[in-house]
Amino acid sequence: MADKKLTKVQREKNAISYVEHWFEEKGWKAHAFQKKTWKHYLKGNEGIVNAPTGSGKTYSLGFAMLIEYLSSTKPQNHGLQMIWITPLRALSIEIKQSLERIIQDFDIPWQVAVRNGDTSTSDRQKQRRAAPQILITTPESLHLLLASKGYTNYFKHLKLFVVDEWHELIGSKRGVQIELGLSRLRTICPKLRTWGISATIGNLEEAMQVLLGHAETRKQVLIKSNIKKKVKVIPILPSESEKLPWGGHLGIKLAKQILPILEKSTSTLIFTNTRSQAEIWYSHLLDIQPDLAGIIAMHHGSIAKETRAWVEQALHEGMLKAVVCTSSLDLGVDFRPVETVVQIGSPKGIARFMQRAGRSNHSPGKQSEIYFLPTNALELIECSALQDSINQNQMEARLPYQLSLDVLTQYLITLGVSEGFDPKQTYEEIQKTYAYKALTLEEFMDLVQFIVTGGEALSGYDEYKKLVKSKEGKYVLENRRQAMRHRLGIGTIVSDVVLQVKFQKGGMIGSIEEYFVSKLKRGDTFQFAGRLLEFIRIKDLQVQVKLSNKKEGVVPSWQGSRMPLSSQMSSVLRKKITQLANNEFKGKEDQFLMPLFELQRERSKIPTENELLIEKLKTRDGYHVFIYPFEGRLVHEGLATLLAHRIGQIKPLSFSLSYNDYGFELYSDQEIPIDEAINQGVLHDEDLFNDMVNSINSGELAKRKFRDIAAISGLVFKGYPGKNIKTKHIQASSSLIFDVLEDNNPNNPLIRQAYDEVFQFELEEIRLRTFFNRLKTMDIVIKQLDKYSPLSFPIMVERIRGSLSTEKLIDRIKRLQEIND
Amino acid sequence: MINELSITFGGERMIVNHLKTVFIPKTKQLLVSDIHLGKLSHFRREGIGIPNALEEKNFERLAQLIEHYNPKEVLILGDLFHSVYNSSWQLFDQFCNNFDTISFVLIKGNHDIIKASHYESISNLVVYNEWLNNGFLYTHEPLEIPTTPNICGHIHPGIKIKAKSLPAIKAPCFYLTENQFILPAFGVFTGAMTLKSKENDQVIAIIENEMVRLK
Repeated sequence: MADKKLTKVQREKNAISYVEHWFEEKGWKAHAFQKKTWKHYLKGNEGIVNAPTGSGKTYSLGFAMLIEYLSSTKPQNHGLQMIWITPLRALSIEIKQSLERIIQDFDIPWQVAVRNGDTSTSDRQKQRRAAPQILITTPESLHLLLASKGYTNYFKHLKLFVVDEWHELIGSKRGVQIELGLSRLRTICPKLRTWGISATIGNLEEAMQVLLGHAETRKQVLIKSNIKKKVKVIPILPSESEKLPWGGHLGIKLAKQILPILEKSTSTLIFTNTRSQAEIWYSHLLDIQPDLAGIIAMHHGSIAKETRAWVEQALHEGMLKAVVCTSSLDLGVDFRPVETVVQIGSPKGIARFMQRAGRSNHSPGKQSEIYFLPTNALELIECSALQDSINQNQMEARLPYQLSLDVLTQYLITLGVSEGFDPKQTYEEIQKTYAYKALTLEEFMDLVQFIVTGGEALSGYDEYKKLVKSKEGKYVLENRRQAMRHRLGIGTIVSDVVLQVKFQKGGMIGSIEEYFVSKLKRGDTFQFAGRLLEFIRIKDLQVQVKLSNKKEGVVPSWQGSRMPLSSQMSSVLRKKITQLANNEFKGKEDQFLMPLFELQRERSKIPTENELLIEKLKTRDGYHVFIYPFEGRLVHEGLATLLAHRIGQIKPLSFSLSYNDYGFELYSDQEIPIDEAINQGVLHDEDLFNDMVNSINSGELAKRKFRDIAAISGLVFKGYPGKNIKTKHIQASSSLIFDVLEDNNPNNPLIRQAYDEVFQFELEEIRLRTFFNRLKTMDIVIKQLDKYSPLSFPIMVERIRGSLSTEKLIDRIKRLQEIND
Repeated sequence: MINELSITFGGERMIVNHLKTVFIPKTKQLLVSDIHLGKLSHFRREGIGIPNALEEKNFERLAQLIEHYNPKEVLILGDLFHSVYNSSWQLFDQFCNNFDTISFVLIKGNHDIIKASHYESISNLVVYNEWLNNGFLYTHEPLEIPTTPNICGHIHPGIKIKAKSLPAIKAPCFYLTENQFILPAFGVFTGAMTLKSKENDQVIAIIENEMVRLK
């Protein structure tokens, strides 16, 4: 306990010098950003600490708490003092060890506990009976605590709420969960201060507002560390005689060139963009270098947890020469033996690329090197674009979710399960959050009404029951079965229906999407988790397999793992292509690209950033129109649909659409009046919203979004992994629910949310509008081709095709039948 | 408006329509399958908010069909009611009462597990496990090897239509083989299972409320 006779400032000064002494004893020195954080915390401020991983960010806030304790005349040892949120369970242990080290070294009688999905029931009960002083947890577990009776008491002593890796959470609904949790805690713990820790993102100021709320009851500070990581990008180029393919996305042609890189470093991480690509690369590396057997491994989200844990452990101990992985290893604890990182194919974003580069070489001050292996020729342009962006420290923004009514629905029921809520008070609380600041009282009450009545006026026949009003005027959920189901469903990460893959004789291999398995027949061979497996049968939600003695098998495709090129990257890319158009071929990569771009020029044109190139081509199959906005695949998907819809107003047509990150294709078996359409000015953003709604009339996109919304808001309940809960009679697919709600209740708030999310995230409306603005100053150049150009070819071979028709569906079917006949 | 198509099955002329039912003019029978009444109420009892108004849509459509065809008999090919008893049953009770000149016949389906007394209290309702009538064998589940012309439901048949350069469309359908006629599910809150059609089988799909003979 600090000396009562001293002033607060003196006591704090003493405490800080103890801490600095501790650093000296360890042979370290406190960073300026750490000291700054302590001072601001002691002043009662809140904020964000912007520091890279491995720079001692845990100590910036861990010691802030400790200094306050040491300088207090009435140190608090009772009750929960600090919550530390981490997005990744795997990081909890490391944080626990760091925090335990300091409380032990300073002899503080505190407990540090971890609570997440892996925590046993008995440990959870222990934590409830006697709260630890520091709790390390996840957004989901925080909400589970809010769903238990007596939470107000449990949290009331809380002083510091830390959100680690906030940049990871902000762009997801888990971020909204944090905002909602904090809105409640700010009322029940008046002393609470919130701090975030974040890597550099394009919108740090906004990220701070989101975390701290816009009410600004305390002073908000953004503390930036001056520790910069240097990253160098090294392209892997084919030898002179070889050519890079124009399209495709595997890159295994260059695999041999990776071998010497693996040779010279202790451990290498090889990042791929999709799980199927990881499977293919893993087996290919073993094919070309059989010596690697036993010293390389694979790591992706569908591989069994135990296997992944083993791979991580082996990496730690330096037992593995290389690991082929996906974004599953983007985050997480550091692996010291990793010296080199290889990126296969476009990383799509600068921040993600930096993060991956940062997984190598942990010695401070030294630069990280990352090898970039292009899977097709055009990706080479991205390589130098990436280096430019990294040098200028341009990172993407992570846009926060707003007005997510599904998360709010879940939250309101969470409060209903525990202590109930008073709508007026809850509205006041959530109004202060960034996510719901624009929610009107009327909309809020509509949602409450929706939860209370199940979407309609209660009739005599109706047995609907969810929230009821208690004597104190609070809404509570009394039904125990429903409460139990709600607790099991808390969270915003909705996974696909996955089946466990197991050997017939036992032994878990991983999990796989039902979609893929449904296409397999008995005896089929598929490649999974680096093995060739023979499909036997599906039994009790498990895929039973045995090792296959065949040589080859199909590789499962996992849906939803393709990211669009970020807007930052797109803009740098357009600049780069402009340079090439102006004959500025610099460096080795550019030399390599020269023949390809000469061919583009010969067959068509190299578009500069002030030109929109449109190519027309007639082939045996039909009529093609290629357009190159260079805005990323999602924007292209939206543009393609919009354009197809508007051209369809001139002439009813059926289109097949395909797109990549550079452009898109409209394809039809009849001639497309593109010149006429451009002359009539179809490329404008007036009536964008309406035209988009009409062109995505099938609602397919919204239906896809609704899948998550339905699960988060509790409209579908999928049971719980490993728990056999009988819910068969209340199971319906989200698409069926979507259909019935849309047909009968189009004003349903959750249906509207599905459409909003489509605009915001699937069609990237903001980017789309930015493109139209840019277009106003651009020239449109239309070229008639005789042969595919290098830019058009990869789009043509893109497998995923969307389609759109302005013919009436029924006419189309009739025409289609004629085609078949 | 009801969109219709005339077909022949088991030597009998029948009319199929976009509301997923079949009318046999000679016997004045209306055939309906898999209504799944009460499914919504089940969801609602568990606190899942799907509007109950949909249930009424089932009855509105049924009433529209009765008005249109003026049948003597309404034959329900199973899964009339979705599992455990709930208040939606009273709506059906009321409905039968309103059309007391029509006799209702239920072929019991796997979901029809409510107590027999509920059926007995409706005077114009008869219940069978299967029923041989007018040369047709009515069952809920399709017979594996039908020897008599078999009319049934249960599987909620649907079909995927796919062709070059156009996306696949899923649609509910009537499915006919030489000796079997499977009806699509009538209920508003039911899905459809995609079938692979075999050669010689007839498929009539319902696309945007129109009837399309696919084979």
